[in-house]
Amino acid sequence: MGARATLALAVSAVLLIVPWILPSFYVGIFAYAGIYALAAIGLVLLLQAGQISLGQAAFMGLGAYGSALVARAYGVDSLLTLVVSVAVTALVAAAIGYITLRLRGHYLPLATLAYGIALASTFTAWHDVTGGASGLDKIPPLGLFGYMLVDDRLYTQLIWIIVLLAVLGLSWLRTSRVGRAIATLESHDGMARSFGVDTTILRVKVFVFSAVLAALAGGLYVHLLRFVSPSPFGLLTSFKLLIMAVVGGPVSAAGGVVGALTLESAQWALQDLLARWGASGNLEVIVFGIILVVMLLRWPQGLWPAVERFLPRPALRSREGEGLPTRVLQADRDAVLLDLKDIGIRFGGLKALEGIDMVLKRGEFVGLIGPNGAGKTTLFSIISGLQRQTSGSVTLFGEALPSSHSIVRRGMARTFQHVQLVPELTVIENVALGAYWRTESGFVRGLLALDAAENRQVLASAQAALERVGLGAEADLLAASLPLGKQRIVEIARALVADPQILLLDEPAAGLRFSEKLTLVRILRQLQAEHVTILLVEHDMELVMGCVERLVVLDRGRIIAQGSPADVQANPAVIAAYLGGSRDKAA
Amino acid sequence: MTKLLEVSGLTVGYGDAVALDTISFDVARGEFVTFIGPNGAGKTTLLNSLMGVLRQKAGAVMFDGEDLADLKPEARVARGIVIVPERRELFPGLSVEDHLRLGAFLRRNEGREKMAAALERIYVLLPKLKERRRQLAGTLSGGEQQMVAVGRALMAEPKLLMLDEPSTGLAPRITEEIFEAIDQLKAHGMTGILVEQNAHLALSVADRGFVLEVGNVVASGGADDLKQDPRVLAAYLGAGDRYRETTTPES
Amino acid sequence: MTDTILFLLVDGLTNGLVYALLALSLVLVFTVTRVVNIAQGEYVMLGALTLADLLQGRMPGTLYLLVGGLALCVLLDAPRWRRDWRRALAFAGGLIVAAVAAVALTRGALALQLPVIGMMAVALVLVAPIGVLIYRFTVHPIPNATTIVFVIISVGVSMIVQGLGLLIWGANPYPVDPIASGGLMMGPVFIPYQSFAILIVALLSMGGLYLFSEFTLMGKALQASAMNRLGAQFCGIPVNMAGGLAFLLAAAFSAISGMLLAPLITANYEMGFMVGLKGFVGAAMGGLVDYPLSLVGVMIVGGLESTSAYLASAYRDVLVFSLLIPILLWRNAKQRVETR
Repeated sequence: MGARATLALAVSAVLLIVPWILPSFYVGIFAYAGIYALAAIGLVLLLQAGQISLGQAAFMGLGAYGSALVARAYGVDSLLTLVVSVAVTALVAAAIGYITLRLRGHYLPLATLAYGIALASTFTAWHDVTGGASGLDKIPPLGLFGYMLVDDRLYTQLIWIIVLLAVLGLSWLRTSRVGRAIATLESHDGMARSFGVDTTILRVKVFVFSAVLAALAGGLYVHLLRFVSPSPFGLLTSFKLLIMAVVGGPVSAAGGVVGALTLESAQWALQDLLARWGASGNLEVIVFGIILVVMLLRWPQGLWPAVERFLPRPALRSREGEGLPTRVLQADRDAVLLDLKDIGIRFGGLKALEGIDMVLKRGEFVGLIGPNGAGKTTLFSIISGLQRQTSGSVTLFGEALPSSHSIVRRGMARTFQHVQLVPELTVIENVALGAYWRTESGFVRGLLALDAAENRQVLASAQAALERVGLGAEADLLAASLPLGKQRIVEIARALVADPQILLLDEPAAGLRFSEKLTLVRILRQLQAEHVTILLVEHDMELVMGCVERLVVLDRGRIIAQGSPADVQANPAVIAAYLGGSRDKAA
Repeated sequence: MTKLLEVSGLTVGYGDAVALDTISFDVARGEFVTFIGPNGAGKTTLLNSLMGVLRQKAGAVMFDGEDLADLKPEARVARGIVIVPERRELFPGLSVEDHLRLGAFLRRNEGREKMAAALERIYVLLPKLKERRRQLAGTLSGGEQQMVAVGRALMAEPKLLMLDEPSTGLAPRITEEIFEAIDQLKAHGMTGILVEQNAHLALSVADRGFVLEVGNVVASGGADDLKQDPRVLAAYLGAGDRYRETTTPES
Repeated sequence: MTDTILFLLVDGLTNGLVYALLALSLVLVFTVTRVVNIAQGEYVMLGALTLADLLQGRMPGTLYLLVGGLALCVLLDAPRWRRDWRRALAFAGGLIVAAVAAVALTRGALALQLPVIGMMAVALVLVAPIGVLIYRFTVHPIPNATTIVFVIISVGVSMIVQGLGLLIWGANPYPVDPIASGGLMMGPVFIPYQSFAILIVALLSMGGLYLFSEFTLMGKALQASAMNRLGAQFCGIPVNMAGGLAFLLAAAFSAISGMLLAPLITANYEMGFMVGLKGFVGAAMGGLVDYPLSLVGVMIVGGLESTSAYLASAYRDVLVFSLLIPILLWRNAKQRVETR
């Protein structure tokens, strides 16, 4: 067992013993801290996925009211009502998520705020059922088959067992196939799609799981308090949960726990202090607000990284044994893999591309060049499925080009002009993303660590790919810590793990030093020898001319020349396109 | 001639990538120089760094005797460095004349008469703008937008005018109109840096030229000499053979 | 029945106008600085409570906020003293003069016992600069932060300002005199003069913003910064000037909104937040960028609010905020079509 795991066990043991040794007044505080931690962990996961919720407390409320009302009215065992209530909340969250997560940028926080308020107001407004603003008492305690959990210390211990299980599950998820994909959601949507991640569905799943944690927290809350009213599930609680997530650090589930413990103890300390001064009012709101603003301005990573610095590194997941099975590429050099026919695209009145006919045959190494504004980027986007042409057709392996997240399944992978590695993941985790479409462990398997065998294969393949491009030793460094030259090579390794027949390279040499470019060329040659088909867009003409077999030259949206590098270099039309005609100075 | 701009050892990069590698050059008062080279050579990066949009990693940029290192774009405009950006960066919902007035934003306290006179000078230089003065920039054609960008920059009364790819995406006839205007500015003693991919066009207006290739100056000299220089074509279409199969070292 | 409809119409219009000033503020701030300002409603509260104090002859607690904020500004400027002490001194001196001037102005106004309109102007002068201070403290230090970070920060600002409001004014509601008391019978419906005052002041404010934007160079500079930040910088327009100006104007409009609203519902420390959010629901109709569509949006919000208050008052907020979801989906679909 690793040092990290031992330490985690020790901390967990302490947290589970604490309820039995605290003075009874503090047991309650500790219990509520655990409940908020659970909801805050959900928020941390959301923030990791680049989402935000200003309505998290509303899901707590749904879980709480659902369980409390049914258990109270029909005398059903409250553990059952809690489970049902969490499940119903999950359905509601799926519906809300499916609708609102399509929203981009500034619309999403507003939408979460809106349903947060709407749901919280419903608890107050639906007086006949919920008891309105004054709430309902006589909520049964947590119970099953007649056994009632009425001991606060035992209840608190139960809460913390659930919190610790959530942290454990999320730390497993974090290093699983789905966890790696979640890390892309914040700012690498396009990249994730091009490696086969259906980012929309994944966002909804994250949202639902986050709501499930909140609903569970809400249910535990009412059966502990045995009284339900709207105020604990209002906007202020949503804000408080957000502060916990931000203060603890939206980088790890443990951050949510740190945040909840810090904020709850700060709140009690402040109230205690105020009472001693004889001051009235709600000073903690001001202090919390200041903490939130100052944390975001100065330490946007929160407290957790400062804690983690003193911890031993987590054990690495195994990458021993065989990698994933790969396809054997045939050497039939006449097979047409990609076929563009009469491609055209207009932006407004402007024809950006017109009448483009182009084929890629197996094992070819083709360069796409042209002066500024020729349409290279646009054509590249069309081939990789990010843009749709207005006329003409793209055929990939004899079928129409599918939507962007299915292209990699057909055997075409790409790299990006601006390096698209997830900086918080290690090099090998980034590379492993390439194998996303070749594996299938889902969210729940990741959460429960049932994906070990598959994950081992993926990591073995990723390690092999890294060794192939000469970066085997850097596998466990954070991607952000590599120099740009190596990051570009990592992108190629990631594309290779996708087991492609066609590789699209978008300016792979931009910003590289000469020695790095030599490495790049060597890798590309090796791939070509293995019958991988390569399409290269690149500005370094010496490099392009030195390694491709065939060039396609674009100018003003049309193909003006095709042929070997030597032919193209001598082509007067190409020279004129690049250097321009001379001006008629006589005028 | 005294030097207006002196750049020494300028290095610019994104992250640890080097986009411009220790570039040195100077521009005398009244001189027009051009940087030519293919896509991705670092031409736009050079202007963005001179404008303060990108931070320099090393080297010094002295303008009129002052080190520009920490100045923001708007402070550089105040010093007299003005750019006609590649993407024009216009305000789609504002009229042509609004653009011109905003170009003179830092001179707003100089009085109505001076503003009117400055506007008149722009309208003489670019008569099409006078016809379109009430029209919104978002509704103009590409060529007209380019003229607005030039006019807006001139309203700041620049000491150094920087033009980034003014011919991109324009029909030859429109390009010619723009370059006529540049000719006239030059005749009136304007100092400038012109960045162009279209080498022949650029060399036809500039006094001196520099050829950029992947972040390095690979050739420089008088404009007329460069027109004949084979290194220019080599920069665009690649002539070296360092990546050919036979010369790749095995590792 | 017609009476009811007429009453709802007037009521909805009055609400809508109050939210319109908020929506205007939100659009202004968002277009220039990309900040989705959850805290915008707090200026409503500050405006209302400042006016309440002034009308009752008290020194408004807002002065603490203003003077404290100016002091913090001087403190944050400390690093400059080493580099350029002359400018730092001038800056600190200027802020001290501003603080003294604010106190003097308030004392003068209280001594003269100005009429409601005069006190509103004084309150405006006290509240609007707080917008600039908040810009300085929370947006200026991290100009390139993501939307989400700015949203969370504005949540923090809202908590701080609301907490300070509670600390200064306590939880009690304050009555505020309307600009004109009494009212008018229009057929069977009684319309208070304050409704007309709201109409006139709101229209004047919007007209003022329009004139400022269209006919002054500063207004054009603000528009330019909203349309293209880089282009504005290339004209020599400082980003921070534009951002500060947007926050200043937005604070002013929201404060006016609060001063108009207060006589109808009394002023208290938590009145602003919900008003701000309802402004958002309306502004979302225009995607936070389109003024005319935002006005349509707030009128729908105002109308829906009045109608639901009449038909199912308990569900008023539920209905108003549920409205946001379809609005956002409509915007989102529209935006996708445009970018395609």
